[in-house]
Amino acid sequence: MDKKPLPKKLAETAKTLGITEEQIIAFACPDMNRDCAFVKSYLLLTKEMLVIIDGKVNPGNVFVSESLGEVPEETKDVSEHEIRKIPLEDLDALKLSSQIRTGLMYCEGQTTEVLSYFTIARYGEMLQLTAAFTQLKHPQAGGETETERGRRRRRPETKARRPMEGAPEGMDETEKKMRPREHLPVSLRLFSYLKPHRFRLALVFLCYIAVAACNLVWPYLSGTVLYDQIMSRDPAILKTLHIQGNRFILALGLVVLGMAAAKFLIMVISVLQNLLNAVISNHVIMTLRNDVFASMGELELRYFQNAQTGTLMVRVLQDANIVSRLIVDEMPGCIINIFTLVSTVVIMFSLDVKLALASLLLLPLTVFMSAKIRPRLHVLFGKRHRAERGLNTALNDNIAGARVVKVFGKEPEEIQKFENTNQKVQDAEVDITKFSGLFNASYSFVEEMSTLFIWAIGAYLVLRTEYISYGLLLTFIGYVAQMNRPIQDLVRIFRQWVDSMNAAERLFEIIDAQPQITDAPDALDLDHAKGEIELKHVDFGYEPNIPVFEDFSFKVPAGSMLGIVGRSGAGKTTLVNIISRMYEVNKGSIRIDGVDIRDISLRSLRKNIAMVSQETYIFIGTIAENIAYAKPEATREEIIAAAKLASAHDFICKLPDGYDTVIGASGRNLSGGERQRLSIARAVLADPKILILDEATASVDTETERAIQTSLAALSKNRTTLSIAHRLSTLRDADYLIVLEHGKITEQGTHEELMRLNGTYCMLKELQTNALALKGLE
Amino acid sequence: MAPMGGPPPAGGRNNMPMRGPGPVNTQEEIDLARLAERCDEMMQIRYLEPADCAFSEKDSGFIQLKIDEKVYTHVDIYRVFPYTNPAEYLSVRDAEDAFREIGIIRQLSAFPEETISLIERHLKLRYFTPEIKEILFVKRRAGVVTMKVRTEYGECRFAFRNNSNAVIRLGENRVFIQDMDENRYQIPDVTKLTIREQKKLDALL
Ligand SMILES: Nc1ncnc2c1ncn2[C@@H]1O[C@H](COP(=O)(O)OP(=O)(O)O)[C@@H](O)[C@H]1O
Ligand SMILES: [Mg+2]
Repeated sequence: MDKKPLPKKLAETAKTLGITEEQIIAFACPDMNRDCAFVKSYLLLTKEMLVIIDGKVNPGNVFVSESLGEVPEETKDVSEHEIRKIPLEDLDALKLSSQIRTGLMYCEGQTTEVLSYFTIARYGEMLQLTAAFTQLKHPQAGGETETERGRRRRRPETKARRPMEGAPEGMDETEKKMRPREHLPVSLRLFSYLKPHRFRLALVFLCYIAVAACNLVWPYLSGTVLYDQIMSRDPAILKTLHIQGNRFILALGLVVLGMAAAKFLIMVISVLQNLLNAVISNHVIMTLRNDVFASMGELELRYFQNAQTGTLMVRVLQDANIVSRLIVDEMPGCIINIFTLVSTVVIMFSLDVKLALASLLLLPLTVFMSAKIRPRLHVLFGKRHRAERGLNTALNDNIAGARVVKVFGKEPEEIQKFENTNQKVQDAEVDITKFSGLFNASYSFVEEMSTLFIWAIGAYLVLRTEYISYGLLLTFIGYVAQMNRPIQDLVRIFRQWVDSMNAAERLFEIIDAQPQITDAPDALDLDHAKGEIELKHVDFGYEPNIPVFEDFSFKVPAGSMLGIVGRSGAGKTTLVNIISRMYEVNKGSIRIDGVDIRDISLRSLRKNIAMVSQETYIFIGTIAENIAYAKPEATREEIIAAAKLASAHDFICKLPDGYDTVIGASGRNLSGGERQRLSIARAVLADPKILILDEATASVDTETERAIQTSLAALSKNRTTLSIAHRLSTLRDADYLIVLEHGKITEQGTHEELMRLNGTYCMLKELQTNALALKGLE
Repeated sequence: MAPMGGPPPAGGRNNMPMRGPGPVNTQEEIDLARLAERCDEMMQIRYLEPADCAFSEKDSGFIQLKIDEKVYTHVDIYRVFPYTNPAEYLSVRDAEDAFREIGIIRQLSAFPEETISLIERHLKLRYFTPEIKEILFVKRRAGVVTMKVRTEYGECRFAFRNNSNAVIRLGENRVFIQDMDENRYQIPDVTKLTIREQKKLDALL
């Protein structure tokens, strides 16, 4: 035990009590009293006694959390504390009780009594003290185990946090399975999302037009008006401005004011327009996502089989963003850019044809640069993006599969793999830097040259002709400079268009994917189901050419419990999947209470059938929310009752945050057995007529399984239960058992009948009993 | 079928049918009765009625519960919904028998005054979560946030890692901060802090 230095004052007090520093075996500083006030108390343990120095409540006490690593301040005067000495022979045991945020130490012996209170941070040193005591009292029994048990108990959750499990991969399969139907072109459909925003969009357009107009006026004012009319004292301008006399200074003031107003207007309008854009685009994203989610909810299992739902979601969210950016930010911009370009050209030609021609002569060069060479830069960007994605995947893979990597000792290989991917990112980055430097330099060179060219031609024309003035030239230069941006924008938008259309297409694929399992037009609700299940000549296969069931017929009476036994791959899960209509049968029919399940509305079918499957899914949310998933309106009492039936109540209560514990994703991780019990609670709360348990208790221990079984036995009283289990002991309560092999029932009957049959069931039973007997369990 | 399904204790299955009435049989009966009781217990929640139970604090500092003529000398009380419903649904557990649940208090307010204050005091200790009244100081360095705050219990200084789940938001405005030692602090309503304090906090959320 590493000893912390004894606080000096404490050592002095100890001395006044007749205890030397050497006699002190252990000490601790509990920091609370029973009213939760912060105090500075001390515990001293010697061979003869336990000394308790109770701190006084003092408003000046500062609570300093242990992890700050500060040495606890010394109390001014220990003597004002209440001091109590308990001889060790009066104490049988010193024990700690971990409260949720605090702890307390109590003794057993002559009396049972709480001796001190402390915050959870002190748990460690308190543990050392009690361990030292135990060592002293019972040297033969290891104080060590106590310590370890306490440690384990101490930090139940912090260490266990692992990042969310779940690897990406596997999108393509799903994508293939989505069947798009004939529809409007994607781009037109996108506009339908803008419909609710007609007025806002109109306003956005107005804004754009206003900005464009202001932009158009600016060069004219700064060139022609300023130079040719005011500076060259053209009386016509005074007339237009209705100014009497020869006051050109006033005219100048007015024009400057006009120019300032134009810029100011641009600013105000831009703010307004950004605001509008934000409102519209957020709403469009939301609608798009909602549509996608709604559609996903209806799709059957088949659709999601190979996709990790998470990755799919992430992509949906990203796609929605890309698409909405295009339709909300870029499209209006695009139209306005075209408008600006055309009107600029028109104005230029109306001002002067020759100069206009000269100005536009070199324009194709810059267009070429933007359209042809810049894309190369984007190829490089794409390369970097892919490299980065590779890096992410590698990282994710390693986090999700960390356990596997470690188990097989593959860290060096993984690190090498990671370094390679990382190198790729680096290379791509270097390429980009090189190329973009070159491109930017040459682009601005071309830009400068074309401006120079216009200057030269213009100056020449000014010198040679009468009718082109210096101001007009300035106006033209202004216009040409203004054309650059719209051109670049347009080129960029056209490039993004392709990306966005791809994203949009993906979204629409999901939105349009027709659930193959839908309600029949006259589907009926199963209100008071009895729960009789009958399969008649059912054919089914996941792939058309590989049948799992052929001409399969079977009947489960209402209210009975059917046990399904079989090797893995025999078709047990498939059987319950088709009964709950997760998949549609190819031939034959499945009837519940004599009604074909295809004639029952999916809503009422799902309400009447609850399935607890092998894979438990935990949603992000609190435990209470997870249990109440199928019945959000459930009362707290119902939730507790369901959890109790699933043997989950006790473990939940013992969590620090109880039913309010956040689980899933980044929340607390539950063990496999705990997850299964939650799923069972969820199913119990749903109170279905037909309960399907597909190896629902596979990952709970035998003890808990028994408990769950007992509750399920009570639960299955008024409902039909289909129970699939590996452990045959799980099926003790089944009224009837079937043995599946390669999609066929090979044996059926009650437990006794099957045992008498001496077939597969009997053999499996024998095997398992022997195995258990070997382990001494049965 | 025995409800518990457990193997009957020694001397059960094989001997019983032949022996007839005798000590073994009574033993069996007692076991069955106990099993049935345990089984009920396992599936049903007992809600504690104020009339049935007497809570008291012993000299030991623990809560004692007397119910159905049974005395539990050390019970622990857990909140079932610590955040969303701290005053109702309290699970009363026997600390001397592996924290087996004795029952649930549906509404503490239905109990006598002394019981309420007794249980509230114990809950306060168990779920000790000082309320942050004022943020005096926030510092961030290398992903570790150090805070100095004033709480109803006095000044507290603590540290937590900003990248983990140390800051928990509950509902719109309620915030919990868990420091590295697992002490928790709460801010019941963030908007009640001054703007400056909110700014300091915003950097963390
Ligand atoms: N989604 C699927 N697509 C194609 N084949 C599947 C799919 N799921 C299961 N199968 C196949 O169907 C057969 C039955 O599987 P399953 O019902 O899961 O068996 P069990 O639950 O009895 O272990 C197996 O051969 C399996 O490979
Ligand atoms: Mg299966």
